[in-house]
Amino acid sequence: MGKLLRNTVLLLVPILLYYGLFLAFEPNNYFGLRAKTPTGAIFGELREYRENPTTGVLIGDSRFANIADMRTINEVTGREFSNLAFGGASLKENLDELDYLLERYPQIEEVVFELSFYTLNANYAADRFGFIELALYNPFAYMTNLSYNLEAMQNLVLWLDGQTLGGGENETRNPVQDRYIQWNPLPGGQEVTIRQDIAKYIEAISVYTENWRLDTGEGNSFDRLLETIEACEEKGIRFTVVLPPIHDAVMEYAVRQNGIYEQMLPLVQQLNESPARVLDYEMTERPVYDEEAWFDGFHLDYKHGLSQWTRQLAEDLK
Amino acid sequence: MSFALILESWRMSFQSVHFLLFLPLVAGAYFVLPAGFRRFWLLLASYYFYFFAAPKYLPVLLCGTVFSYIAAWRIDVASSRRGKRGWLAFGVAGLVLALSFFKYNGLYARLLVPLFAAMGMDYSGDYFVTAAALGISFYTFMALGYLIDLYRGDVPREKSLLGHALFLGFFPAITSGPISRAGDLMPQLRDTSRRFSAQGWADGLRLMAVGFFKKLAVADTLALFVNAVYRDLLSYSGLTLTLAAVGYALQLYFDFSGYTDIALGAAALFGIKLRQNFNTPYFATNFSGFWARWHITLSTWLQDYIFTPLVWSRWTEKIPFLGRKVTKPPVLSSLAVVFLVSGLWHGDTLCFLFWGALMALYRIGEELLHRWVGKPKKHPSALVRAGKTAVVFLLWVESLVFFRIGTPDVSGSVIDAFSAIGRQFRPWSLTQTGTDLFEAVAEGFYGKGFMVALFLVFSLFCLALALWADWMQCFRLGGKHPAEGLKLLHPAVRWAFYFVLVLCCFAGFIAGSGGFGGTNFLYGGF
Repeated sequence: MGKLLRNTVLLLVPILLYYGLFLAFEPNNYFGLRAKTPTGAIFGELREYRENPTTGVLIGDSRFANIADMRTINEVTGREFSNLAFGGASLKENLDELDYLLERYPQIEEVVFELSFYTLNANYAADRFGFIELALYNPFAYMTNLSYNLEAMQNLVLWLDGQTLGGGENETRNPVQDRYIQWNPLPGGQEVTIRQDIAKYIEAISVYTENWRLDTGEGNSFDRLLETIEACEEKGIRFTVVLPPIHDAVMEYAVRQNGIYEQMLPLVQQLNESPARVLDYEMTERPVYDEEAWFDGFHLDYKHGLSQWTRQLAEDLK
Repeated sequence: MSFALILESWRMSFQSVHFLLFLPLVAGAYFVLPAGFRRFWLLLASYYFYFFAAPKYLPVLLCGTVFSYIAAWRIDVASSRRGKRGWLAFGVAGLVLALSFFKYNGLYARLLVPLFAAMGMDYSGDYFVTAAALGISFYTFMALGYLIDLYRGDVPREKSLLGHALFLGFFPAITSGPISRAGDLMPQLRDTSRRFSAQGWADGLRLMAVGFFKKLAVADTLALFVNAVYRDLLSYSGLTLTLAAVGYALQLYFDFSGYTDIALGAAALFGIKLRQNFNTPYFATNFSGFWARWHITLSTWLQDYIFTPLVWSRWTEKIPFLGRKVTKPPVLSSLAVVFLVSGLWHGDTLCFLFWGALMALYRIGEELLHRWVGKPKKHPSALVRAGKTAVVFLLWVESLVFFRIGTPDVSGSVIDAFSAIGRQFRPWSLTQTGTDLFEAVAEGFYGKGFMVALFLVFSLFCLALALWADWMQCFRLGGKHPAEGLKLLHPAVRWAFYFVLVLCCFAGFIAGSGGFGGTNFLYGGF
């Protein structure tokens, strides 16, 4: 019996060693072993929220998740918000997350909900919140998940390369170093001068933007959002829909060029007619930022642009 | 946390974390408990396993158990042969009805919806359309076999309801067999005097490790490619479709034989020996040999309870008008019946029935060939043997196109299957197939070329290792399982193999996200 146990443990040594590394480099600070939870790490955020629930919540994808400076939001608005947005979230996932929060935290008085043409795309239909909810309570589900294991190994490689882990706030890009190119957004069309990385970004998201389609089927996410707004209104929960800013080139060559703009306007109108407050920085009230304010086509640079927008958002939420 | 979420979070299957925690606890406690309590403990553990695997079907299992117990009791106590036969008919009819309701509910819905519509009634078929009750094909066949054996006087009746329930519900075999016989398993379950054996545990764990390797590192990695192709058959080139067909044949084999190894290994921890289900079928040189090596417990069940009685009954002689002309025992026609039943046992669509018919055609064709040109040499040359093996394998691969297209996630028709086979002959392009292969698995790895390449190398390595182990079993180990073969190796080499197996299993386990929302064993769906 002793020999059997010893041999079994010996066979498990490599796996135990692996999990030692996993605990040190897992992307969400799931077990709370690191002092600071990286921005947008949904498990860490939900756990922290469970311990310190606030009356206001921010729900959205990476555009919201990147807002690390919650102090500014809280100070300017004079209200307490928690940022529960997570990277790559689809509209369905955000609505699932909101349902989950509203069911468990009756003290929520205010919801700031991010929406964009990108998350409204019927072809962008990630559906992971069921798993997130499951893994929140079952550490084995988290520890054996392929995505989180890959991210942990990626973090290990970054660490070996001397980079800081979970340091999204430090990520910045100096546009001076970015190469500008002559780019042709339309075959046979006129060439434009554009940052190479922005052109690449537009090409990368073209798989979604060229086939952009609004889901109009029964129970679609936009209708569900309108129903949630109504339900929040009935409960006395203040609801704000925020459409975050996008780079001018994305607006021109991805949104307008693919006819998305015309389809978005009636939706924004519908939202304006709903009980929700709408802050539309994406389609109708686009703020002007310098080129250096942009990290890529969707995201504002942490150092140069995000702080500006965070303050503006806080002022508008006041 | 809702109850549904707890169930989902701790869903039980052999490849779940729950099972890895459950098995050593249950098996360890079994030997600590007093002998008189052990069967109850095992039954409790079995129902716990089933509850977390398929909670809504536990009542079906319980009802089937009580029903078959009553039928067995009435067969046993009936004083006349006629009375026994009547109770056997009652038991068989009841079990077959339950099987047909809980397994073929989708078929009923497909038939009833247009019928109701013709009568002007709005009926969506929702009531019927549920997944087949987990393991019902397996435990129903075990119960049927037991009732028939009891009627024939081949086994004594299990008088204890607990013993009867344990025979049908024993957790290592409940979801996908092996289909055990009462005379084989009941006495082993009844005997609770066995002592803990470290050697038995070591053998069981070794068998399980090989099983997990086949399932997690081979079958599940092949599934990524195969499933992607079968989800969108029209988009792929000839070579990709051919590779997917071959890939499915390998996936199905390593999935099911992996499951069987885990089941046998888990049972071995309790000192119980279940029947082997596979013996290197892909090295068979004819279909008679293939069916003697593939899903052996189902093949022998069909042979003992359908084929042999059919042949002995000379049923073809009883067919009106035609029967008078029949003079020989109905071997070939009974073979056809057996394979059609086998097809229906696997699924309720025409694809499965067609697959069964195709198997009958292969088998009958082979018999006729042997009659006309004589039986082949017992020891053919290596080249002839390899050629025959390749022909059998390729015919099997093509038959499985019907099988795969009939499964619920594709739900295609026989025409779709023919079309998929036809498209295999479209121009072959290595470059296109390389791209298809990359794209099929890229999504799971964020499209990162390096990760995809690593995954493909890993998959090929594991597949090669598994095929080599099968080859060893067939040609070097005299049919002994590779887990047995490991014991013959030098300790250093053996341990190297152990580490490779464990690490490959772990990598496969993570690639399948630990079974959370991941894949199931393919035969769990039959």
